[in-house]
Amino acid sequence: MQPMPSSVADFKPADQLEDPLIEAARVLADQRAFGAVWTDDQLRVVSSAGAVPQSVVVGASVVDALIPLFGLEGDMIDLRAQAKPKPLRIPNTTVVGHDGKQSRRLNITVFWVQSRNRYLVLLGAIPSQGPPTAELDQEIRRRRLIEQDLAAKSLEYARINQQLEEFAYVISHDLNAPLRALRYLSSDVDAAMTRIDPEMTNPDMAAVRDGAQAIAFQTRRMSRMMTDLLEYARIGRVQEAVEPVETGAMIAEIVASLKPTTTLSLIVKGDWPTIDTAAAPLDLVLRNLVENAVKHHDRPHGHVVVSAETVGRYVAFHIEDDGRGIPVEWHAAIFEPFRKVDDAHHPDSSGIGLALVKKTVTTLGGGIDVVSAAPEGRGTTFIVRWPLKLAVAEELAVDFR
Amino acid sequence: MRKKVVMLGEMAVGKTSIVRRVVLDQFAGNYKGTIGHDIFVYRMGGLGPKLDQDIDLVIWDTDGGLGTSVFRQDAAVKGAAAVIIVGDVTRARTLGTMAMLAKECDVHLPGRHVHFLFNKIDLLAEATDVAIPPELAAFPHPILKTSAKSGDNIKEAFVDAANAILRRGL
Repeated sequence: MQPMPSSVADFKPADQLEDPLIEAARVLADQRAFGAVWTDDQLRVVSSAGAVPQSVVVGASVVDALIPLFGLEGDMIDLRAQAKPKPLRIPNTTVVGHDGKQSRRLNITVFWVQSRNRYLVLLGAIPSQGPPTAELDQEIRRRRLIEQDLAAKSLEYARINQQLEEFAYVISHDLNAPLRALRYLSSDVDAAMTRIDPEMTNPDMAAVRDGAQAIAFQTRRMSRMMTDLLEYARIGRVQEAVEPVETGAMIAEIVASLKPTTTLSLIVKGDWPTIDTAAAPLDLVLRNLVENAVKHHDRPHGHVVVSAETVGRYVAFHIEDDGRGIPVEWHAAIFEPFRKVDDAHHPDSSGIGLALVKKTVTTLGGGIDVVSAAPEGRGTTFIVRWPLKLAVAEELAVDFR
Repeated sequence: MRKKVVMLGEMAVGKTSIVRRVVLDQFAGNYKGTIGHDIFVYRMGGLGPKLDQDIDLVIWDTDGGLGTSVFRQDAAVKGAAAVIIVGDVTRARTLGTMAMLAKECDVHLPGRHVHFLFNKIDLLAEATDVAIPPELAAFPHPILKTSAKSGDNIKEAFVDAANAILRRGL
């Protein structure tokens, strides 16, 4: 006994049945077609079956009756000339009326049936999408849009970063050249004034020479600021090599390189470990903080104490002095570029040192705090949390104070 | 007279909002993507040099997710007399896509009227000028800056398209 066919595809096509009708039968089954329209070769409706729009009436033009077919008359005529019959498909369309109401969403399939000299138009249902499926579809689209926007923004940021880097380079390099010329010219003026009137008996000459010296000083300062700014911009862009660093040897070298002072005592104490880190950034941080402590000390006698201890996955470096201190309202501002507490005493300083220090420390996964009792008390302590191993410092909330 | 017009452009550039603004005089702020194709019929009168011609535009609002494959995959663009290509002025990428779609129009719909709409100008600061990407400037097609939200230049775009269809007998 023959098994019962389970789908339209299982039926063997009858020999006398044309290919288009076989295909139409497939569409009827697979797309759950609910309406069919026969038209003559002039695209006029001859008959219809099933559920079709009210506009489908005998004698009417099918492209007037079914709006999605409008504009496709040429493609429908082309169907007749095809060697191998192939239907014209207009998938997933709906017509929106002047009142905003939508017609039923349709798949339309058009066949040319040669033996009958007629077109067969099938109206198929779109598989129903319940609210969850439709919402999911919309959500996928929203996310695709967000992804596209993010990708576009990333590209834009990369472009801006590149421009900033080029800008910083232009500042430091190209603008330094005219500044250098200005400095040399002011030195020439200074030297000429000194040759003409070595004793500076003429007050006008003295004023010109003082002016030339002031120009030389300010241009030097500006040049330094630009160099520091470039350094600041470069932090994080350059991949530093990680190597075992003896922090004890590093601090000893930093202390030895400072200008000898007979009155300030510089004390190194604590347990200075050897760590796997980037040497240059750590040197920059410690050197800046120690030099600042010495340079900004306001008394001829005093002390600067530098110590280290290992706490968890960090080394805590303390740089402590008994200078005038930093008022609490400055504790955040001192880490911003070009913000200086003591501009009057150190006009030549660029004011970017602590900003450089903070950016370096945080870029490498550490942190920095400042503690000071000013103005009631004296002294400042900078505490640097430096990761024992680079790129493992996600727990930055450890408070070392 | 009835003519087919196709709206093209990336997802969420405002194609549906533009059509709904001109046909229904409505604007909805929330984004709901067009899945499949929505077809609107819009009757316009007072066209032509003597302002005495009428036209019914059959406007196909297409699914922006199809990209340039809309030219190959289905019937949306077939038989169109005019194409309106929309971009979002706040997303530069969508303006680049306009050029790709215009190039496909040259291949699949040669000689048809093409109009570029830079949409969502209401989202720009008042003095902001929209830079026309060079790849778009290379096309001879007219450009209008539009806002489906405020209605700025929306009707004008369709009047221009309809007049071009009548003038050129498309």
